Amino acid sequence: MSAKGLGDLERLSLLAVLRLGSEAYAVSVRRELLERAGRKASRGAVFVTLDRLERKGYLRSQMGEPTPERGGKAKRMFKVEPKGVAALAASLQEIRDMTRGLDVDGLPRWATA
Amino acid sequence: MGHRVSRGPAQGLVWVLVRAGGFSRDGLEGVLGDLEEEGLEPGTWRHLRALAGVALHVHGEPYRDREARGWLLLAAAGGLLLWSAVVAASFPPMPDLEPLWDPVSRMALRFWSASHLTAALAAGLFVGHLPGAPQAAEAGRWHACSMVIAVAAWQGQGVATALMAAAALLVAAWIGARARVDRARGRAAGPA
Repeated sequence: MSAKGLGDLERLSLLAVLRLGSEAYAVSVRRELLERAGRKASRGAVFVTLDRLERKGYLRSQMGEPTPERGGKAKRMFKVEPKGVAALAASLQEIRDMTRGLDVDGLPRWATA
Repeated sequence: MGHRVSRGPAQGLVWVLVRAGGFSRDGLEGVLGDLEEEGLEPGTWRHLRALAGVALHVHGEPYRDREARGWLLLAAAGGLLLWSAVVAASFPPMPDLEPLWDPVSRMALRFWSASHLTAALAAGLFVGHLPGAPQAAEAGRWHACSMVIAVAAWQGQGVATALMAAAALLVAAWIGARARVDRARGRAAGPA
């Protein structure tokens, strides 16, 4: 397990990119975070988090085709790398290890079982 | 792929800040396209504010975690130490001795007595070339340079020398960073 875990937004962003598949770019990731997790992240935070994840080798980006609605600019599409999946798995396992067996009112059963 | 749009001065400055923070050209094109897709037209206040938000986050990266902060401290402290060492090792101009020396030695003597400029070049190359903290290094480099300039460049020899030293440091840092990037690319490409 890596000594340097994923940050909260990093974890959620990786999950959002996995969920979005071939449609993952900053706008859709930000929308996914809001709609699915209720997380209102600023544009700057999402852009920089995705960029940081790519520098860490957890994501890979590719420029798509430019489109008129984007002022003729290409979309930067993201895909999770195997290293990113491993980091995500480790991060989720950490949470699982910490929640398993907890007997606290208010925590969901699936988290503490 | 994509095209450059004309930028007002404010947007141009923010664009430079984002690029200086290490955001790639492709990355920035993606950002600008995303903003337009969300209805934020270039040249509007909302567009500028959104882009400034990106610049703020980019320049917040060097302070984000312990590794990045440690690197920044090392870069700034190392730059300042090198600056002090070069200034301490220099000697004042010796105009009485110059006529006795050959042109090359005279030039070397003048260069070495312009200690703040020499110190700025040395500190800039050090900060620019220092490896590590990849996700925060670009913005961190410029922040470290700013710290060195703030502390060292304004000591001693007047505003003109301070400004020249600051400019020399920034140029040297850029050269050092480019040399590091080019060498890393060369290593990644492998032997011919």
